[in-house]
Amino acid sequence: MTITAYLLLIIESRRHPDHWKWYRFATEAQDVLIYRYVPGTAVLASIPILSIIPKLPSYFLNPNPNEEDKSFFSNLTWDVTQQRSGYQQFCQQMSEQFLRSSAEERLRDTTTSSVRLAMSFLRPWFQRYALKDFQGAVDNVSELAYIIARWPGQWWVREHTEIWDLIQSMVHVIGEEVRDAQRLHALNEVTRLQGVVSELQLLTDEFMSVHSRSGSDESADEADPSEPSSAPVSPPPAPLVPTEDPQLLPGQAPSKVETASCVLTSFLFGAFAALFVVNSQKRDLALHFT
Amino acid sequence: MASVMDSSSTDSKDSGRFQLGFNALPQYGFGPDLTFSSLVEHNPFLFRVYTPKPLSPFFDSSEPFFIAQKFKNSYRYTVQDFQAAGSSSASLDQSAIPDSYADVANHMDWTKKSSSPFVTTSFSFAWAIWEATRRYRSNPKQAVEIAVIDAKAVAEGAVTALELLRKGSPKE
Repeated sequence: MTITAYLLLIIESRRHPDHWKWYRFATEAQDVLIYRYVPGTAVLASIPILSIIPKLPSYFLNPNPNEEDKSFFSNLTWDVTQQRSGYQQFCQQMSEQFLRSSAEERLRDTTTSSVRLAMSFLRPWFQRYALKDFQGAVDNVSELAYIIARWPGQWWVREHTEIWDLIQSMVHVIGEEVRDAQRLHALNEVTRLQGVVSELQLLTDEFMSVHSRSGSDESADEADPSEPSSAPVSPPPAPLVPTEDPQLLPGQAPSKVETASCVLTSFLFGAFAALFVVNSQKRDLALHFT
Repeated sequence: MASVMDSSSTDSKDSGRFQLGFNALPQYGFGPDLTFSSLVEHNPFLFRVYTPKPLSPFFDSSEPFFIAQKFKNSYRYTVQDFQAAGSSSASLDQSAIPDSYADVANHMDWTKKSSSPFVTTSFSFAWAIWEATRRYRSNPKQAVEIAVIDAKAVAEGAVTALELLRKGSPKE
């Protein structure tokens, strides 16, 4: 036994019994391991599988679905209950179906259908970035669509170099539509908000004009000496004994009866007010002293 | 994120190589090139099949979205905590990725998943679709989603599983 063979034997003996099973799994799944965590900024989109199934290219789908089987997966060409070992068979089956189809169907699957599936994977991200970075968004969806396009038959896609241009053009058109729709939506939103602001401005102006009119009415009432005021004019501290005012004309001097009446009314009103206030606070006072 | 994606796409198409399929992965398995660092240039998307859980209403996109099982209970869920718990540098160095056979074995072994320091993803959209339908069919009550990940944004901490399985030395 050579040294190399001996070393290989040692390596093999120290490997886990499932080493080659894991190797096969990692190979077929094209596994990539990411250390520690994947930040949210790196996750472009996350789509439920049930939303992706209806967007699959035709070679994934059964051309003659079983009418009796109404389950969600009945339209698929592969058996979804297969265990892991069936993935290689799945790949072969999809390729065979793709290559069996007509050239027109292949062209459709590698262009429009691939773009459709790529869009279903990246739709939320694409809609977010169509306005921010249009060309970058178009390029990324095109790349994913091209990866999807070449999966079932790489040599066929490599021979048809026009597929890349077609994919790019299609995604560009979709991007323009998305961008224009978002612009239109944004413009409509701005118009709607402008309408709201205008209405608020009108309401504010109306309120201000009503308020200022009523305020001016009140001030006019106060200022107009010709209008008889219903409120008693607050008299100056009325002396009980009227003094002789040389400026007053004899006919305009208030009578003693009127002055006394005013003083008495003020006194009674003040007394009532005091009683009312004390009465309202009686419970508080009682609580305070007990 | 967008800038990373944009620069990658511009490079690939400006060079005119993207459409010709150089360094593209085959439909099944790998070609002669197994390293993530060279494959990522022309395979800029990763896919992860998972069952979603409701995110915190305070979730910020800079926080970890997927966390390896080993770290789920050890640290709080912020990038800063991960960085503080890891190497002294703010960004993860490729050399900081553990490449021991035990680590990758823990990841691949279903009974020891809880001690795995890795998050599983795949270069293959088709595998993701196949696996997601299989999982959903086996348990239709659980929602299954496929996350699309910007491969260049996680390049510092990413490695193909085959790289690690091949590196495994007997002394470990």
